[in-house]
Amino acid sequence: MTPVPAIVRDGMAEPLLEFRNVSKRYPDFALDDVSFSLPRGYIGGLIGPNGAGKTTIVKLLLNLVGRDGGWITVAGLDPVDDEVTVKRRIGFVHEVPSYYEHLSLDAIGRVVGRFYLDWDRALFASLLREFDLPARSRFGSLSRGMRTKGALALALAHRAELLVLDEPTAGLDPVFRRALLERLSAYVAEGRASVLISTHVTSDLERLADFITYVRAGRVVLSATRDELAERWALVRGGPALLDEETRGLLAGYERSAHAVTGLTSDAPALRRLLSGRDAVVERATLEDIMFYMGRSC
Amino acid sequence: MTPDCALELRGVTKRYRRFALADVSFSVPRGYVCGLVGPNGAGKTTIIKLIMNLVRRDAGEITVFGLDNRRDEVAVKSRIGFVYDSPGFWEDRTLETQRRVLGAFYPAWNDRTFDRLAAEFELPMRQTFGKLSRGTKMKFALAMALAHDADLLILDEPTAGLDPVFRREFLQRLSGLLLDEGKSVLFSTHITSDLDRIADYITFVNRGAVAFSLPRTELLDTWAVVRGDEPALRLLDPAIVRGRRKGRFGTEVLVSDARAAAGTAGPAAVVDRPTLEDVMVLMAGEPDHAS
Amino acid sequence: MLRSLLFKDLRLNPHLFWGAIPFFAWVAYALHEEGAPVGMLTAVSGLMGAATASTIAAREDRFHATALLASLPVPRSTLVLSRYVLGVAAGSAAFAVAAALAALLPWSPHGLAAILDVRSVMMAFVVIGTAVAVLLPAALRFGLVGVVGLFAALQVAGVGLFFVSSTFGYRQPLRLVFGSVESGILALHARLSDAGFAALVAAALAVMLWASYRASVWLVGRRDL
Repeated sequence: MTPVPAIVRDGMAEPLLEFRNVSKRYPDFALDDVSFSLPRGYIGGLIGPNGAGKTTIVKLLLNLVGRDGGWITVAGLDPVDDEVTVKRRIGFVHEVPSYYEHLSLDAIGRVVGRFYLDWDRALFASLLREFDLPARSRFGSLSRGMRTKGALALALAHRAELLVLDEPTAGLDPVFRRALLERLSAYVAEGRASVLISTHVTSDLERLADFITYVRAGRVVLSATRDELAERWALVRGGPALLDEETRGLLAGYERSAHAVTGLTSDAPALRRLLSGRDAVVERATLEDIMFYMGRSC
Repeated sequence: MTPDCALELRGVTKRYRRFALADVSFSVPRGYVCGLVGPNGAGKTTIIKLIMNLVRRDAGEITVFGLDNRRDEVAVKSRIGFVYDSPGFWEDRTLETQRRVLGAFYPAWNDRTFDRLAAEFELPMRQTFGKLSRGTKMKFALAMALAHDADLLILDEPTAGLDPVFRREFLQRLSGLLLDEGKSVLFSTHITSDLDRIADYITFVNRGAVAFSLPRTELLDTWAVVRGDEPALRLLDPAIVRGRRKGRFGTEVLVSDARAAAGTAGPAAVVDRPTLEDVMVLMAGEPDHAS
Repeated sequence: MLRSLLFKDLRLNPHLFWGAIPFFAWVAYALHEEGAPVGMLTAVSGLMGAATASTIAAREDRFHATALLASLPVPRSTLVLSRYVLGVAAGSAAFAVAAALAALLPWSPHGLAAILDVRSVMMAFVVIGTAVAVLLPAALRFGLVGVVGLFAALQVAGVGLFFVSSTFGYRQPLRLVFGSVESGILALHARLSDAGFAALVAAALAVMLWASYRASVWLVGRRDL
């Protein structure tokens, strides 16, 4: 759990980011009744299969697309009504950052910095040093990892209150991933800012995210804190006999092979009680397990 | 030259202007899965290119099922199914066209196998390649690689960009194939959970050299992560230290001999079984910047 | 293997072949002009056909398909050979179409016999062979870089110049530009009636193509993908 000073936690009642019953319709896809929130000083993870709506959610947040229903608030403001103010407070790291390919990071910083009230040139320079980035090289010549770092430096340098990262670690090696995640942890530890990460690399979120929102086919299937997930969600493994009426009632999904059954439950305490004494193992479900087994019945 | 090897590299060297792969040696026994790991820029893709003879090696030998990959290039390649990081298909032609055109080059091409895979992967065969999502593109590349009964699969970051559910399904399928048909796999990846699920061997490449090539279980059983303060860590025998990292919460050291470390490290140090991620992060040994 | 390669080129680049239709429509139109340079029309058709081989190679480079092709169980030398075969075949086919148009269209000034005489056919092959021999090594080695631009410019210029010259009649500047080239070519053409000379030219062409092929194989063999 990211350590947050108690005084800050109690003081900030209003979530930094909140989606309430948000909907968005496209010709062949619809986001429906999406609700979740992220308090200040925490890290939220957004997970889900390709095409589930994660990117749409991010676009709605940045007002790149307009919503059809519901409310979105960022630090109490609406991204549509107070677009400029909201955007000033958000830092966005896109999946494959592609800024001006022919400009150097220095130059990009100068261009981008003008749009932000809180732009801190000295901070940007020190971040470039910290991330070991060549300030004068063309952005186009940087590797994927360096681009992500560069985009992060830009976002941090204007002291964004909400950092939104879309697949930041795709294709990056564990060394860099760990450094990035530690950096994000440190950033929210101050209590002022929050981070929302949309990613496929669920293992990164296991160690880092305080809140998880799982989106599937345009709907929020699960939105919980890390503790809740640990307490209530579990995997159960046993023989085929495990799948009786009672047990099945408690399972959110399962997979059956010739000799074994693996099931996912959203009510671990009840399942444990039910299965005590029987030949079954109940263990922690990772985010990947939850994504894999939920809704499965084969 | 070991007869049971699906793939063997010996003393392979390749020099570029600003980078060099030096004296790379490792092998993949028949029927096993070898994960090729290491930081970006370490040389993993170069190794794959050398195996596929896309770049010429400056020294060393590469054999696939006992055949030299240059002299017997055609025979070797007809037994290899490959999936690259950037697929390389034609963006403005349909999957169906490309399947027909490219399948023709493989003597063992099996249309029925491909059709089965296409159905399982739900491939939109009449779509043009360029319009597909990355995940679907990779699925198509996979189907192409699996449809000609290849004995060796070479996959360069095949699961990058795929969602966890499909990743797991894909790996399950791959495991199934290997069990049934004794195929061998070399795949390069950053996703350690994939490796946990499927890799029998781990070959770690860093700065153009192979740091180690070991069975995964042996690696995790005999190596360890030692965490503690500097004085305790200094007691460790430098010969077994393979990497170190100063993180936010203290220093971690990777050692290749857990028992020895447990014996010598002071009481203030904790010796733990490493995760693959620990190994990958610590082997790269980058000093952390204070946050 | 070679057959699969040629099949691949046809299936994956249909638009290049269909795109030749407007060009031939132009040729058909240009033929009605009094004194239409039939020889040049057919020769340039051949040139364009030969150039498609390079364009196809460049397209593959754009999609990074070169690495994919090099990973197939095909030797690089065969990949190179398929390009040469394609170039010569496409050039010949284009020449044949232009020749057919010139021979069969009612308003064309010449008959079949005149078009298909040995000298014209030889000339066409000189053009096709030279184009293939010169352009392919560059296309295969450098791929997209520069070569596509060069081709686009040549093809457009070729069509454009014929457009201009046919519509407005021969103008002095154009005459000068083509004049020297034309007289050189005409001289060659004239001398081709001599069987011995023709044989010599054919041999030189074969040698040039072979040398170009060897050079390409060497270049492609060394190329790191």
